[in-house]
Amino acid sequence: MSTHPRLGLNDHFTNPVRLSLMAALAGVDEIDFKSLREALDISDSALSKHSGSLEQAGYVTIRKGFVGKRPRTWLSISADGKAAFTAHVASLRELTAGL
Amino acid sequence: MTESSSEHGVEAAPPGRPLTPAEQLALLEGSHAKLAAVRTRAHRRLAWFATVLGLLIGAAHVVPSVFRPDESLPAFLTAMGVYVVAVLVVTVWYLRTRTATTLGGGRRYLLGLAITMVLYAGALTLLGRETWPVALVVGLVIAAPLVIAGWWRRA
Repeated sequence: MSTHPRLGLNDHFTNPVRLSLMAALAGVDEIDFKSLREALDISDSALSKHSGSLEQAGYVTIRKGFVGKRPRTWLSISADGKAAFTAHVASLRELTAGL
Repeated sequence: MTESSSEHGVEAAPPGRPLTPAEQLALLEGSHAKLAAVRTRAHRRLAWFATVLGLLIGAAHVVPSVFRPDESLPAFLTAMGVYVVAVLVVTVWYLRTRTATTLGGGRRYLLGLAITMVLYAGALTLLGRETWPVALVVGLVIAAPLVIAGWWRRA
């Protein structure tokens, strides 16, 4: 017996910024903070806040490094994040089918 | 700068209100173009880096055939010096300008690099026994896996 599609929805992704962030990370191996911020049209602090929350949930991996002497932050989606996001999008499609 | 979803093609939702499923899907579709541009830029950068690096590794096989160390050691050492500097320059350029890695791009690059290095090691047995045109062809064969891996893109 199949479960209702609403059960596949993830509360972490109902916020527009987090949803956009997960969609962006799902399409790359890794992306730097600045490029992600520009792609999502959000502020540094907003991206920090939302990526930090998703990192705490285990959906995003944040790696800090240096290019020369300049610090650079890289973000990527974790395996758990990928699975949760895929399930979330599949549930969205199922719920909205026929609308 | 805003956290509103209107910039991604969805009517602005009041701050803090979770999006409905239809709004979420619309948001995902609206943000696709901007993300595609980021991925395309990252793909091209990796592709050009892999191309130049692959050709440089292939050139490492050709250099001893063109600038034979037994004929002119200074010419050979100069050519190898230029080669090393070129590898360093292209690597630093890529590391400094890289802003993203496309999905699977890193794995494909490593696989291409591994095959290229295996071919390079195998071709060492030919050194000194081939003319420079043959060495040039072998150099291109050595470069091919890395170049192809760089430009390969998931459907």
